[in-house]
Amino acid sequence: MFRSSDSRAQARGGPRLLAGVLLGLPLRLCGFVGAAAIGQGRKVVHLLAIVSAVLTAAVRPSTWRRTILEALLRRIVSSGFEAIGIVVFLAAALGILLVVQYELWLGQIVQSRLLGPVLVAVVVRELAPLLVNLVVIARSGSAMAAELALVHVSGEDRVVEGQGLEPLVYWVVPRALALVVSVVCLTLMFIAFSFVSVYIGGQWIDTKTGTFADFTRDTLGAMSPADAVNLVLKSTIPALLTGCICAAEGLGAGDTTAEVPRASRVAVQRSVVALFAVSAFISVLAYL
Amino acid sequence: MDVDGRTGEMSDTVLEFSAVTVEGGHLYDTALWQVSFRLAPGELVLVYLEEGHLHTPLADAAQGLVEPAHGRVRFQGRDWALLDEDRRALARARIGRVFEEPAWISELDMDDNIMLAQRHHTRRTDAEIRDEASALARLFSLPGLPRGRPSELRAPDLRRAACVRAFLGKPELLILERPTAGVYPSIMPALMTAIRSARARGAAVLWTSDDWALWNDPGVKASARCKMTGSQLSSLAGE
Repeated sequence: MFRSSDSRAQARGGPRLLAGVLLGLPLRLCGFVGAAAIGQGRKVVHLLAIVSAVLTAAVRPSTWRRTILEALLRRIVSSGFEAIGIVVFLAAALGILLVVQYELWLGQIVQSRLLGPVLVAVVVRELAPLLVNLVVIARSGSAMAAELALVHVSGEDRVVEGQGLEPLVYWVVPRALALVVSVVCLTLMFIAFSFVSVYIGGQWIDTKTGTFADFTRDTLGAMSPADAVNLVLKSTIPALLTGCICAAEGLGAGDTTAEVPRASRVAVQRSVVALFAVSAFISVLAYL
Repeated sequence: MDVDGRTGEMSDTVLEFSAVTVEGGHLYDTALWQVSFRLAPGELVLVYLEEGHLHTPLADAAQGLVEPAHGRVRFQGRDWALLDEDRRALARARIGRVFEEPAWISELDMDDNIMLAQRHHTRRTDAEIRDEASALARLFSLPGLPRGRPSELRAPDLRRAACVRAFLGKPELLILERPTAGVYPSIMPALMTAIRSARARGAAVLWTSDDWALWNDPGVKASARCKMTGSQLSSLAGE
């Protein structure tokens, strides 16, 4: 009696169970995607709040006392000045690579006048800000996140706050702005050295670059106002985001030293994602 | 009460705890439960800490660094909870503190560490601040203003340097968390001289110690001596 009732119930319940699974799976998937989207959205809002706090503090004259100015200069030296060597090397190597590929694919069939527009399109619009930002993230961003995580773990942030210095102003503002200044200067330097490298490389492999004056005139003449705006935006916004992301991950790390590597890793990962997302967005806005 | 939370009748009080409860966290060995006391200009309260309960939220609460779950902490009549960040920072600039833990910014040299708050908050010249710091350093038996990174100094010298930093700039409230740890009794003459001078000009002093001999030392002319028992401040008695 019971068995037969169970069998009927099972017979009725089988399709219901299947329908439940078939309906539940997409719902669960939607829930998972929604939760992930909300989580990412919150992170973006948090980041934008930090960026706005940094910019607000940066334009307040009372922020720029001698202690903060000195901190800014120290950071510019470590993020910018000390990165000149690697940036010059990368620019020189990129210049050689470009001129070799140009000669291989275009040099035999087009005039030397195309070299300028190619350089502007490849170096100025995309590669220079991208590579310099990557160098700064790798050199300074990861170090900043680790350093600030240690500051938090060792309680130095509370010491600064206890002496009446705002943690945001002392720890974050100089670091974030130093990254912006460094990336802008290093990007200009990268462009200049890569152009020189292209010219010297071109002379070496007998590419039709014309005289140095012709080469410079062609290259500069290929630049438009949109290129300048694009360059400024791609040098400043990702650098500012990197500074804020690394500071947030560092100072927001847990209370043990075990959190330091994790904070550094996450900071670098998010900075790279922000760099590529922002760069792509700016390119779309500037050229399409 | 005005917009800053200042009350007229409290203007003669440097620091006031009114039934303050602070939850303990990972930063502290103990919580605070219904702690109340007042510190007038020139007064010194000596607080004895039980063994194993050295990290209390007392100093952080006095500086407005931790928000009480209940009760109010007022500094110079202003409730920390009602001050905005700028005003809090300005108020903290008037407080000198010897921190419980070695509290130095590792990226700065010792002299920059000691002079940081004065250089940030005042327009005094570097030379003027350095002169005052050097004089305090000599008072605390250091050969001069320490240089080099904090990690290069011995623990007793770091404690003396912490005292130099706390007294620099003539603060209106001194929070001394175990200032004699590791340097008792050799630091006492200098410390008492500095405290006497600070009290004479109207500064209030909140001093914690886990040294029973120090707590009972009749040479320390405290306005009140009290004891942290668990999370409660007890045995508050004026002299």
